[in-house]
Amino acid sequence: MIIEFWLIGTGTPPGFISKVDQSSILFNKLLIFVLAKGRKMPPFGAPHLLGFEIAYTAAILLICLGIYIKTKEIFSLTGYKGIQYFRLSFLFLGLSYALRLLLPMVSTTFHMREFFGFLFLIPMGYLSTMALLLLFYCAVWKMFRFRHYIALSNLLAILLSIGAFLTRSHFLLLFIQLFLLLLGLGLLLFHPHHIRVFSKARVLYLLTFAFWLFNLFVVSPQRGLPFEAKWALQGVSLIVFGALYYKVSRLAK
Amino acid sequence: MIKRRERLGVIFDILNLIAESHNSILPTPLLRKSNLSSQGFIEYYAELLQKGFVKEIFDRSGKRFITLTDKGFRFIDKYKTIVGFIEEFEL
Repeated sequence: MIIEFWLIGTGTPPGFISKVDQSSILFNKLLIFVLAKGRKMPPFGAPHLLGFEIAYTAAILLICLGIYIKTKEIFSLTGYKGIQYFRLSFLFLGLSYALRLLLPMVSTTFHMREFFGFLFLIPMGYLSTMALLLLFYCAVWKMFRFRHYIALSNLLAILLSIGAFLTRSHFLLLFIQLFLLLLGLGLLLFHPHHIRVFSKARVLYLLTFAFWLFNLFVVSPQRGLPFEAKWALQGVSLIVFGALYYKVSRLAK
Repeated sequence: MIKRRERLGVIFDILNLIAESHNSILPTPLLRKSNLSSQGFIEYYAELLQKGFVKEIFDRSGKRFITLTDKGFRFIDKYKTIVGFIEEFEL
């Protein structure tokens, strides 16, 4: 498969491999064996769906950056921690979505796909974990005043991203982040002061978190999931993000 | 039980007091009207100076007056928006 991708990229007719090509192919194989332990990145799915993925990711990135920019003034006036965590979580989330798209794109278009594809797992793992931890904390920081939360979150995010790189899989990220979501829900549900867990804002945060996990899950081609279902859920996620952006722009003008 | 004022609420109250005093007030009357302890007032005042919400001006006799900066006026204008934002997103 790697040889075919490489030959298609260079325009060489099938069946024809020069001596230079042969040594490059051998070098690639050695690199894959050493760096990626022989494991291959999955393809991104049908190429005609790439356009939709790019449009979707661009929309999410623009919304997240919009939220970050719109809240700049009120944060600069107040220095309020809740607003800081809120802004940063959306900035990191937007960047995570962009990296999520790049992850398989680099894998299919660059001939050192096996190495660079996995390398993107590190920043994506760090940014997405930090985004989710900050999103959770911005809603509960007054109840769970924990001085070392940010330092601990950074440590967890770094460890998780390194773990994802070493396992060459985004599934470790997915499972740990899902665990964090359930842990956060549990903390809120069983808090001694009976916090209203499913308020409007918290439901939006929960959906944001859940849609990120879904989008991480569908990075690999899902043979059981039809692309219509994936598009429908991504469409709903756009509505949720759009609603968040609308609220921010209405309130932070 | 009286609810403790939030930090932003205290800052707004102090800035509003300055604005209502024709944007020029001596420190002692400000302390009295702000309903804060001396230590608390000193801390808030230092923060307001450091963040550029207020500045000090001196008259010919050397008396120190406190006035609002542009940033201080903007804070007063935006306060309701800020509080609304924090409440809406439960931050």
